[in-house]
Amino acid sequence: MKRYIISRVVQAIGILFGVLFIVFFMLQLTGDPVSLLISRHASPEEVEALRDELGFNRPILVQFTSFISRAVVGDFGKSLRHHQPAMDLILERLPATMELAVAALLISLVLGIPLGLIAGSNPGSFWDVLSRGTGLLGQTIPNFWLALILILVFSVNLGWFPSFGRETWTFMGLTLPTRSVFLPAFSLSLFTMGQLIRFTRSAVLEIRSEDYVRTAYSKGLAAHRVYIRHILRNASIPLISIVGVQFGYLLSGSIYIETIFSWPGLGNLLAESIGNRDFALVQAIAFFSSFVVVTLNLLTDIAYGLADPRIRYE
Amino acid sequence: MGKILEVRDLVTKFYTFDGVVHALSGVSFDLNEGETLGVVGESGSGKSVTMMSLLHLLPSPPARIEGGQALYYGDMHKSYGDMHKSCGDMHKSYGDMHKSYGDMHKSSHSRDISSSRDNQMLKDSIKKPVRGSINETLKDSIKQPVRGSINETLKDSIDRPIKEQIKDAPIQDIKEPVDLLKLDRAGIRSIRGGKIGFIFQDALSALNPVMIIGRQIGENLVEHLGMGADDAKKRVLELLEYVGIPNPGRRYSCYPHQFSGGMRQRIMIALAIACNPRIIIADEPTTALDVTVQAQIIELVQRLTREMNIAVIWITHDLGVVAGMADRVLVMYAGTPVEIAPVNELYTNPAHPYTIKLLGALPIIGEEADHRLESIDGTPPDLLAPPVHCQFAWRCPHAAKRCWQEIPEQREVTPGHHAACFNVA
Repeated sequence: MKRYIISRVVQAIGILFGVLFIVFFMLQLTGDPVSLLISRHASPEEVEALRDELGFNRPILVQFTSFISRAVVGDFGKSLRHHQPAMDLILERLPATMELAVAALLISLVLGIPLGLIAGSNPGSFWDVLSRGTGLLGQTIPNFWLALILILVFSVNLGWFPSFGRETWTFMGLTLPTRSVFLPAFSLSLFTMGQLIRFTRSAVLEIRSEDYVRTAYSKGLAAHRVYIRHILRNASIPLISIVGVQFGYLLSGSIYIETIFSWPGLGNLLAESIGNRDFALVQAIAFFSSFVVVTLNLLTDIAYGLADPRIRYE
Repeated sequence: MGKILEVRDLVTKFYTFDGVVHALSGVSFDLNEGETLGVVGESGSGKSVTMMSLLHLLPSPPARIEGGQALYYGDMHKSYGDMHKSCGDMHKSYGDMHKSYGDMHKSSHSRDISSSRDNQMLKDSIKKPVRGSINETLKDSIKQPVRGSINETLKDSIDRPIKEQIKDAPIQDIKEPVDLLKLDRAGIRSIRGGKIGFIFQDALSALNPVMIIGRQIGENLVEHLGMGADDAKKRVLELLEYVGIPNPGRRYSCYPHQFSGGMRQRIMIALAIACNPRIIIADEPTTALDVTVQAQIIELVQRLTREMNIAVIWITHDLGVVAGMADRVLVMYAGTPVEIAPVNELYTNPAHPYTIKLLGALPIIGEEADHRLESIDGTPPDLLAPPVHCQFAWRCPHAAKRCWQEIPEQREVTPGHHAACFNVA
């Protein structure tokens, strides 16, 4: 297990360096970065002065090493717009995105896995049709469209939830979510939920006919015991990877949902910084999102190893 | 030798999109206590389906059991009751013998039947209904610890916790035979694993890959005997030792993929015998194993029948294996039993043309190299539309007019030897 984890960690670090490489050259590919950073009416001398100041006139390799050496300690430079270190801005927005991501993941787990289970255990039944329909809708309805409909119904018509913004309340020093998270989280959860329904269903269907399930029945175990001990545990293995990957995406922030609900998270910040051509910030967010995804994939791999002993010992 | 299972006219059909598959059309056979019944036949002849039908293990839909009876007499023959109390006392005095486990499985070859003196002693100490039959005495001697007989002690130590609890089991009071086919879910569950154990062909796929083997075996004990976690673990370790897993303490928490094929099959066996079943159904347990390991597994199962008085139904393709270990043989063809006979009788005096052909297809050691093995022309009938005459008529060299008109009934060849063929006088 130790070797397995170490090898995964080394791989993850390799990927992150690759990401840094791409993030750095992304800026180069857009042409002369200085022309993006300075007013179109600046004189050639001013352009040259800024280029000198930012170090863009140095050889590309030197620039790259200096970028890398700063990036590994989380320094992506200052945001042009906010005049604050880019990483500080990200960390400031992170709690909001995390709240949204966790809420969305919980909703998709609570709805998706039971629906998938019921469907997989009773193929062809009414519940199966219902679950498959829900799963299909979840994966195909664009979440920004659903978000608008939800706002229309639940905020405008019914007035149950606020239509935008994030409200929190503080209890014993903890910042806790309020119902303001519900609509954005639900819109965001839909895709993951659809995926979970479909994967749970097919995993249960497949595992139900495995030989070891027949063995479990031949032992005289009650059906619910067979389900809990033998089917679910095995079905959870493919689900771990879906949950891990999806949570990674959720955590790196959704541009659509956060924009629609004016949710002060990373997605919103990214949309804003792209609009402002705030390159340092875009680079920082891009790297941060990749970092989150890679970290979660790493955790997923480890969880996978814990859940499936066959992987652990390879 | 009492009957323990009586199957009559078992009919199982599969309702598929292509039509109704007549998987079993009237299977009948008996199983006696402690005997080994070999069930042979080609793929699709209904060997496994018969056994799975008995325990309601076929997926339904598509499978449906449409007729027949499967009377289980297991609970009728028990005269345990107070016998156990006296056993209990005796076990204590033999407690220290358990220490010598380690090398016990090595001596598994020895066939120690206790001496008559020991038997007498035991008989006296045990209040049991004496019927005077040799079988009873043998049974008792097998159930009791006998000084000096290593196997007996082992057997006893394996048996003890179970037996003590079995007497509390409610099913004990049933004096009527149970029709397995009519049992409800809870009823069949108490039979599965508890009274009838199953050994499957490919132990790797038949064991849960993500559960340690100790728990997979222990589950049985918890379910049927209501054991606590500690007791179950203790018993599992004994079982592992018994089936010849070296170092059970360490192997207890291993996963199936960490064992070799032979070891996995031993674990399957430990699982099947965990609750002291009266019958074990072994569905081609040696097919996936190499010959040496095959021999070990067969030996192990033979030991079980001997020491624990378990009746074994051994499903196989391998006529050689059957010849070596079975007491009686049931030959199946196209969902019907075509011949049943004591093993020697079947091999020396086969009556059904199918059996004769099957035996003719066996290679014989020492025969000339250019000797051609016989093959059976044709294929088994299509079970989607089974014929209303003898199933074997197409392939039978002796098929007469009648064979194309009627389905033959089982006829007696010699006592205990029946064949479903009109040509049997």
